[in-house]
Amino acid sequence: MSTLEDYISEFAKIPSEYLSEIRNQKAEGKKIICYYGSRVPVEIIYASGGFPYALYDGGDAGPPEAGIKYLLAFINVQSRYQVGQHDLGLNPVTPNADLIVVDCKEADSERVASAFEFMGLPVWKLGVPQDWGKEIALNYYTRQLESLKHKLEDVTGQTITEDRLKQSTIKYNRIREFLSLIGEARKEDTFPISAEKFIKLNHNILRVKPGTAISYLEKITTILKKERVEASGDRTRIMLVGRALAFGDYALVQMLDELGAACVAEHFDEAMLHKGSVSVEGNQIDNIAKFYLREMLPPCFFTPSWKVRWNKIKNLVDEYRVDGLLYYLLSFDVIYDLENSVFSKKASEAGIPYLTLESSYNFSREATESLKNRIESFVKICRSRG
Amino acid sequence: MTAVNWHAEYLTKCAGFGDPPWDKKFDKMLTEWKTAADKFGLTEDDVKYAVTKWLPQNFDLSMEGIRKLIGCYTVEAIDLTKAAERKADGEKIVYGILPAHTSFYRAFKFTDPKVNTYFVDMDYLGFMQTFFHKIEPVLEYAEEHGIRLGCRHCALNKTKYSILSTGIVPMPDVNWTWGFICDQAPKTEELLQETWDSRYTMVNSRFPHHGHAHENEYQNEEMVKYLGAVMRDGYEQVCKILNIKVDEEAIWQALEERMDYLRRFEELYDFMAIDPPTLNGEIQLLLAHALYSVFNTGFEYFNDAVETIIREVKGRVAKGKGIVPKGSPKGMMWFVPLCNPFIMRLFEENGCAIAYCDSLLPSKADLEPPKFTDPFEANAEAFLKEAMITNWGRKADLTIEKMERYNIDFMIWGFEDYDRWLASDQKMCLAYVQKKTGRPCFYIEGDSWEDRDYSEEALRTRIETVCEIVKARKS
Repeated sequence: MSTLEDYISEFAKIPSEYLSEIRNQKAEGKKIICYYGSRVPVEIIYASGGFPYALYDGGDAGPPEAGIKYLLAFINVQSRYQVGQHDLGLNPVTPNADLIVVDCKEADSERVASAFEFMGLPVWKLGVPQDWGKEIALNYYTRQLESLKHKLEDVTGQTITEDRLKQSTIKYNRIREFLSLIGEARKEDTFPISAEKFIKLNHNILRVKPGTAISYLEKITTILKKERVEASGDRTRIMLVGRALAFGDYALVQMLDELGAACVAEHFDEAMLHKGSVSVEGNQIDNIAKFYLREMLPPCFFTPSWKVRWNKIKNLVDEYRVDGLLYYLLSFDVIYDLENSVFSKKASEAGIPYLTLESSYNFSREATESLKNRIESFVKICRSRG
Repeated sequence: MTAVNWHAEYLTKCAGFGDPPWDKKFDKMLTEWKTAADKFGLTEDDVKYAVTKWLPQNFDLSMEGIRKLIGCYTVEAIDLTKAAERKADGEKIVYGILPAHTSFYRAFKFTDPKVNTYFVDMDYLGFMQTFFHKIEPVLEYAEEHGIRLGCRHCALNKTKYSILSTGIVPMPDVNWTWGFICDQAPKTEELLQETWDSRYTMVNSRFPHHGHAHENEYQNEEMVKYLGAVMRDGYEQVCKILNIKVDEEAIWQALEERMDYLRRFEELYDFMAIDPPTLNGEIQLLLAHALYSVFNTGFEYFNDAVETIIREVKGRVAKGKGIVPKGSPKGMMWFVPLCNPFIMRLFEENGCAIAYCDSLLPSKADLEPPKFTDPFEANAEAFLKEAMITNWGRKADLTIEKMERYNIDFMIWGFEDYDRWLASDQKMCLAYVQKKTGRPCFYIEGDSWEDRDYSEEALRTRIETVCEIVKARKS
């Protein structure tokens, strides 16, 4: 009988099969639609009949250096990674993409789109208003999504009917629901999924067909209810916060697991599907716009956002009995750097141990040792307070 | 022996207050200036350093127009130090920050003269560093209070955080911030509200920048109409807080004032194109800045400075006198490092002129009247025409347009390491312009607002090298 470990390992192999399928189907005329940014609704891309492919690789210091040829040296390391990865020929999909949709909700992601444009890639810039609470902003974003829908229809030759869009939405809602169930299992004292596996699971579902993801997630959640192993034990319960853990950027969670911390909750703006459910009553583009602009936790760039973001994080700290908050800051990520200052102050006022770890995707042995020392001390502080 | 009054020396020899018509107001000005200098943290020694070294080294103070131009910034600095008193007397205070379309702030003032409008970060930083080379204490304060040094945040935002939280400038009634692709400015406002004072009132007007390469966004009706709606929304919110009416006539009046000032430059810029160039890009930027930053003192002093400079430039052209010898290479910089005037000097010392600041130099489109008839949409259209606002492809197209018009030999980008909004696409613009024009183009890492990381000595060799290459190409 298969164990949870078996299912997770099996599922981890699917993204590379998806990549092969994309290549094969491309030869037969199917379209590849890459997307970058959490405000690009994958539901619309999938409904177009194209292959969605989430761009968010990271965790390696080489590509960001190559990105400096096109971008500012002090733009955040993740943005430089995207551009440098393509420039170095390390992205297996972007050279064959039929469209790359980038959400322009901040200066840095817009510049990634511009650099792709400069490199001759087919880019669609999706305007995402940052004044998320305003009615005019919601209307504009809705019209932006309508334009995206028409663009995708042009590229794929497939009409995105209301029914196709609803069916696609239902699939991704199901994925979100399963991910929530798995994540919530970590509220217990013991749970069988490590930080690294949970993050990878979140990443992998963005690089497989939604139907495949659902079938695995279903198996995983079923077995999760049965398997309760002593995985967390008396481990220090850590919550991670930040812009993103990119696909491939697993050094931090590996260190946490290794150093006796249990990552029980996280909030990352990017590279993960957010919790919640998109309504399927009424006009579907309207529903998707409302979910992505209003119902998801506003990203750091939106204004105002820090009050609502901190309240959400504080609630998760209480709900998941978190011992300490770890803010994962990407180097030169200015807005997250400011948020880190705000959260650090609020955590101190709330008596929550808080650590900032800054990453330039340099995980050489020297860099990793210093990170380990800091995490180890933090874990000790959290324990001593517990 | 009588001690030198360095404050009086500054006003008369550097800031144009010994020149007519401002000489008549001198005594009152001296008293006000001393109070302002003290409030801003300028010591007698700081003023002496500016008068004896910094200003004569970096500005041609023999030109009356340049002295008057320094005077424009001085009267605004004095005016800002009176803001707290005015607030106590019941007047209203509105702050803004770059990037913004300044007509709306002028319209508040046209609607009610008791509304005071400032871009405090520029007022303070632009004044203190450009003319006194003294900004470190303010930046260090911000760096110790949450805007970390290691992340290369913009000095303008650091300045705003510091001067508000240390009380150099008073709490405004409202701060209207525009995050037009610049995320740092509106989020710094939120930082102030979250970590300094929750009573800090802000209105944010933001717009996602998603124009495709080479697109004329100002002709994209969907974008113009949305930006117009965003502007209207912000304007109405601010009017409500200030308890003044929404006066569309005042907005048209402000737009007309803006266009008038913009048109004044055409003659000057054409004269500046004559060989040898008569002024450098620093002066052009200081003049044009009145359009991009709000001056509570309005255009009165600037109009006088412009008139004087045009007269003096004509005289220089007639005599064949310039900032470099005739036949020297003439360059343009995408954004002249305003607060580090020694950079212009380094180019000139090496036989090359930086005659223009591209981003603040009006294009043909900028000078055309608006096509949209709603005042907010007309302002949105004007805003979307600006080089600083548009997409990378059109930025490059505008650079080429200006290089052709003003016969530019070489082009420089950079000096904006901190600016994810303005500078992230400059290397792409450079590659495009170089390919299209075949003229030498360079990127120089540096900072426009401060010089702690990029001092004169650190930049000297780089600039010397660039100048040698340019001179070799020209010969």
